Amino acid sequence: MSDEAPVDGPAVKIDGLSKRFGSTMAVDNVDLEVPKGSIFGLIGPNGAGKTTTLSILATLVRPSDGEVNVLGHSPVREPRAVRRRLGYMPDQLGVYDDMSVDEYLGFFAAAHDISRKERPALVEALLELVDLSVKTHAPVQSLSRGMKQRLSLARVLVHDPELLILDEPASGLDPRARVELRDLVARLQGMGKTIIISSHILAELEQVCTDVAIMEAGRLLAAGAPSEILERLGGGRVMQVRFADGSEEQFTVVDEAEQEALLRRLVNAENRPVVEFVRTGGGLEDLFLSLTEGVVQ
Amino acid sequence: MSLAANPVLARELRVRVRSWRAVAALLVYLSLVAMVAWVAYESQRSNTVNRFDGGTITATETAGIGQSVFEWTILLVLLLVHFSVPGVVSGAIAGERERQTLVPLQVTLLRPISIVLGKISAAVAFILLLIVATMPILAIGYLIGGVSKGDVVRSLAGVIGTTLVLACVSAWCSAVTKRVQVATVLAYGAMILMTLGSFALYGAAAVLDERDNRFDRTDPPAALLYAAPVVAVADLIADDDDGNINSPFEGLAATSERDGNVRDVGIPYWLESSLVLAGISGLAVWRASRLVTTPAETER
Repeated sequence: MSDEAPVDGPAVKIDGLSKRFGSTMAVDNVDLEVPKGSIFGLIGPNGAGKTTTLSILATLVRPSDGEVNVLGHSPVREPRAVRRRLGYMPDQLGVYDDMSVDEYLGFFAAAHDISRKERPALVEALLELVDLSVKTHAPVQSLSRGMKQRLSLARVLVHDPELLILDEPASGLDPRARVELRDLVARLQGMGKTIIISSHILAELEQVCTDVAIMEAGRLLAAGAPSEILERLGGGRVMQVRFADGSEEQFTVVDEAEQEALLRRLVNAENRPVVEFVRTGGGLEDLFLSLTEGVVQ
Repeated sequence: MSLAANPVLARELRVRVRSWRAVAALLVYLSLVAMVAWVAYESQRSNTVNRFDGGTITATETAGIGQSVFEWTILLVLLLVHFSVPGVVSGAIAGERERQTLVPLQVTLLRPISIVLGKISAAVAFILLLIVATMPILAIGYLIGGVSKGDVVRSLAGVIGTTLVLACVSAWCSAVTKRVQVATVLAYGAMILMTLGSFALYGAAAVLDERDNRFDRTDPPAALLYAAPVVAVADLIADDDDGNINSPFEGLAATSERDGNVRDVGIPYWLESSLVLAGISGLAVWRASRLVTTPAETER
């Protein structure tokens, strides 16, 4: 199969994936599909097997059992074909502090066989995308953590990959940097990229992810669109509503559409003036807590 | 991907050359080399003048001075290569791991061998810069006389070859571990094992010869010194030395000439040793590149 062969079906398909490190089962018989064009959140406590799973997808670690298919290629048998179409940002923020921002991106562009002629325009476009144009010639060591994170994101985009794997990208970022990162991820999805993102910050994921998978102790507990999972589990978002007359009520909805419909019904159909409409629970965080037991490998 | 287009090499050279450490290293290095050249010149000159006690110094004696200055300078360069290359190269891979920059490299289209060779080439290029900077000092010996173009070429080939061997072995040490400090200790350990270890083995063989009388007691096998690049360089330089007693390489080269078996087959000692060293270097580079190859059983 050629590297550029078009692939139908999911961006990532995992069948019976397991990974053992000695006597520890880091990933235990996981089946998963990541739809093309989705922002896929991988959720789980420390030791859940998220990073190991992502490392396998990123051609870094060999699985013990199971089949993995990334954009039509096996990360084990065809790692270079996968690397051409995948951008991987590890959870540890390693950058070359002794280079300038443009040199850094130019270096990785060269490492992806991008011609010398194309590099300056590419670097300029990437820095504009991640809003670092003003830092083009600045030393990498002078950047803040949030800026370094955006630079890393620009790095994984140098070869215009179809699939991005971002392992804990929001870790250590301040609230503003998190919002900027979230917006950037949404923009990248708008450019047609499939994004797999792992994070502990569930509120961040909930706002941006179209699909999620919840892992614990190496096992996959649930996967799919958050609203689907909530519906399947009989759960939902709990909305706390305070009316103008001072009374308060709680309603359960499954997703944002239902949330909007509830508000319309209360205000328009039932003509009850609402002064406060707040979600108090039942989101991704509650779902995560209800599914996991705090088991760590 | 050709070595010239290797981004790792380009990055390393760019970063290395613009650091103040490179300038400082160059200054210290040149001061040392100039000092040794001057001491060699002065001692050789005063010896010669004293011997002739005001008489005419012959062209042969002048040539001896030039040869001495040249060879002592080369010996110092060789020693500095032994002490600097492991330090320079040991951070090559381990440093990437310590900075957490190896994984981003591993998911690019760079092949593991390109990463390793890029690192080695950068170190060798830096040492070449030092050698080029030494040329004016070496030229003093050449200008005084007694040093042929062949001597210069053989000496520089020896120094560059030694640099390559030590760089390859140090790169392997760097790939074995995740900590630069450990890699540095391993690299210096490997260098000491190859040089002093070989001499210790050679010495032990000589003692055994004498005690057990199993071999001719003056002839421990020269093959025991194959892994010591300095002996091969000494043999290469002293090959055409016509027994210059002031040459610092004469004693070393003599150890390689004691084994009759080597000379019997007509292959010079330095060539045999070079083949062994090339084998060690090739093995080291292959192992280093295997150690950064992914996918692997665990993250590298």
